[in-house]
Amino acid sequence: MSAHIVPESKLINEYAPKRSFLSIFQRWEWMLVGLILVDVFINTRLTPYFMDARNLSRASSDFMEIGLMMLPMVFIIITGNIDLSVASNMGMSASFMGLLHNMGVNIWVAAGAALLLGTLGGMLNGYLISKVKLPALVVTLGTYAFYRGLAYGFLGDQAARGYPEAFTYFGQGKVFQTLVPFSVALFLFMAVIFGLVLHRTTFGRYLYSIGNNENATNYSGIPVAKIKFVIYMLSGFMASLAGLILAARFGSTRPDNGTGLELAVITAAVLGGVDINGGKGSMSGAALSLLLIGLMRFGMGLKNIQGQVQGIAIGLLLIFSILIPSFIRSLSTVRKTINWRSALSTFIFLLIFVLFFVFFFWSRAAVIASV
Amino acid sequence: MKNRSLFVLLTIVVALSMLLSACGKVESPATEVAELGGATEAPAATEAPAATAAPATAAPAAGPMTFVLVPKNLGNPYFDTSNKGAQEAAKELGVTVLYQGPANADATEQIQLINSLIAQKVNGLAISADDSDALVPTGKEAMAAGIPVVSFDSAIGKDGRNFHINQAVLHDIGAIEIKMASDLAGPDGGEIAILSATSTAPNQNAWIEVMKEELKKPEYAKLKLDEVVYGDDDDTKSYNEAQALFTKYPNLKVIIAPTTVGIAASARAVTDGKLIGKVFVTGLGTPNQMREYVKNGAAPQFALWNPLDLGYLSVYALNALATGQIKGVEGDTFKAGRLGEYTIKMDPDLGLNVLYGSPFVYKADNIDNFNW
Repeated sequence: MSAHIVPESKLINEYAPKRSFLSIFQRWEWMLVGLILVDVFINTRLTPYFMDARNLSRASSDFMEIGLMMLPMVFIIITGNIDLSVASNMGMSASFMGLLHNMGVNIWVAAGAALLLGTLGGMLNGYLISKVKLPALVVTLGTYAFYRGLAYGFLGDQAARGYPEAFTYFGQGKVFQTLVPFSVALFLFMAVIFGLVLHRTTFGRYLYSIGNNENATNYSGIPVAKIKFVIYMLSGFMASLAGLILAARFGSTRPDNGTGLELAVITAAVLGGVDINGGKGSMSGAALSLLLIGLMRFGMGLKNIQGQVQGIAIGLLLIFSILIPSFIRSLSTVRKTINWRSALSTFIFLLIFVLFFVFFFWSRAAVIASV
Repeated sequence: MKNRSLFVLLTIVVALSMLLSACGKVESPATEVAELGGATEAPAATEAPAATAAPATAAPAAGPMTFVLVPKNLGNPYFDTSNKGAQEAAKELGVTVLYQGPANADATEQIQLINSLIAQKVNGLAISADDSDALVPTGKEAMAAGIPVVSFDSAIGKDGRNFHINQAVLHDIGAIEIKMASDLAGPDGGEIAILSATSTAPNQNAWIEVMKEELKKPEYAKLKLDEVVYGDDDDTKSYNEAQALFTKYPNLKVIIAPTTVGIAASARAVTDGKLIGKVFVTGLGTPNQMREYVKNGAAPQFALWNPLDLGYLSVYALNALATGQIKGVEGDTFKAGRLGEYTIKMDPDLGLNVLYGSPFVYKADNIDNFNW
């Protein structure tokens, strides 16, 4: 045992001189800021349409439903859990509102009922996970299918349409006379609240504590089950809120709305530096990663890069987001010398990715040139 | 210590250079496209398409136009065929047509894509909507930005586009099926049967009603409708229903199946039962699925719209709108190359639309031009 203590004390010493230029990269948030700047720089150079307030405003609202669902997802992932049902819950709530609207119910009553249903959906997840103690992955995988099924049950192959303008404002309107879409303002407001809860309250500290060691947290007298129930309930509420925003943006609802968005939500959170194993992450990181994904997708869209290729780029970035910090961490923890195996594997990965990109775009260029 | 920092730095440099190189590589095809689109700052690019063909109409001198054909999703052979038609029209008009679609047939992705196309200020959008309602606000935005929008194949709601390119109307679909059945039965006529999908499918029932009306016409007096049966759009059930028809009506000459599942199953039943030449199958089908039966004579002809022509017509429609030839109001007419002249009409359900024509009849001599 004593053999272990010696290198550890060395380790503490090693942290001191790390405050060099490079140490900022150990804060993933700064890395994201850097990537955003690089992305903005490249896009601005490549296309004149990028730095256009109207264009950015129009594109930004495409990502706000993801953002709204990402906020409670950060809470959930920090506790070491997951919620795969958010997009289905969103579709279910929006479809329920659509059903009520089609039946002639006042739109605000219908919206309220949808928020209630979404919250109930979240509570069901929370109950099964925290009280019945079933694994979150399985529970939410089940409700992922169940809620989407209910959405089809509500609307079938019909659409709900003809929402009043006062309602579609939430998805299509701008704040006052500015170019800021209402949904963006809503997201920023919610992000600040969720950020404050996470970083400035005991509730937030408990989330990290659960993520680091759930049993220890439980034995410390912290009501773990209650906290987990609350965050899933929040997730359900935010999912239905996102559903309302999406319905307002589309001016209509179909039961398949938002299919597959849960993966985008989880991607945004993880790329933001939230550790999928729990215990680590920040709200600012998640918000920055949403901005980065949005700007990257918009920029690539302007250059007419296909959706599939955009997915590849985001996917690679996601892998780097976990590869690079773990590589840097391995540098600082492995005594004095470098962990050659880790270094080698990182470089091999990088090489593969570079070759892949070169090959991919080279082969694509040939195809495009022939048309 | 130094060593370690060096490694971190190296990693980051490689990562960033990869990002840069990735973007740089894309630059070559993308800028080519962007230059063609940006009419203002591409004197070199303007000359390129001019060499291919003189524009059919003397368009106002606004430089080459860029239109975008937006399918429901990429990698779908149906829309790839539409793109072929669109490129043909582009060549004739001397314009550029891009083919850009979402990875999945999903409205969220499609809207994101269209937003980036609006941002590029393209000159026109021809869209097959993933969700007719959800695309209305986006279509409105595009039109507000001065970009003409037409929908083809799958309509955008009335307010979200200038007009829709309608592939076929109900009556024409029913009428062409009876006409094909009459052709196949020969001058002496004979017994026919209809193999539909489900008994509750509204479009099927509407077509069957039209067919029954058509049969009352004197030229079809020799055709006798034995029965309407339902295969529920299930391959096995349709196959069994077709076989039951053979035994029940030994003099049966033609089966009309206005469903892609039913027509293929019936043609297979005819082939398996060695009834080729005795019983013919016709109806609505798709070329790849029916190619074999067109060639072996089990189903010598069938109908459906032609995605190639839909793409072709869409580009001509956009060109007419973008050049100011038409305003996109009821009664406007424009010429669409080899397809002739079209008039914008008003329909209570569909709003402003242009009707492509009667459904296209696929036969042995043209089926190999299609791959979808």
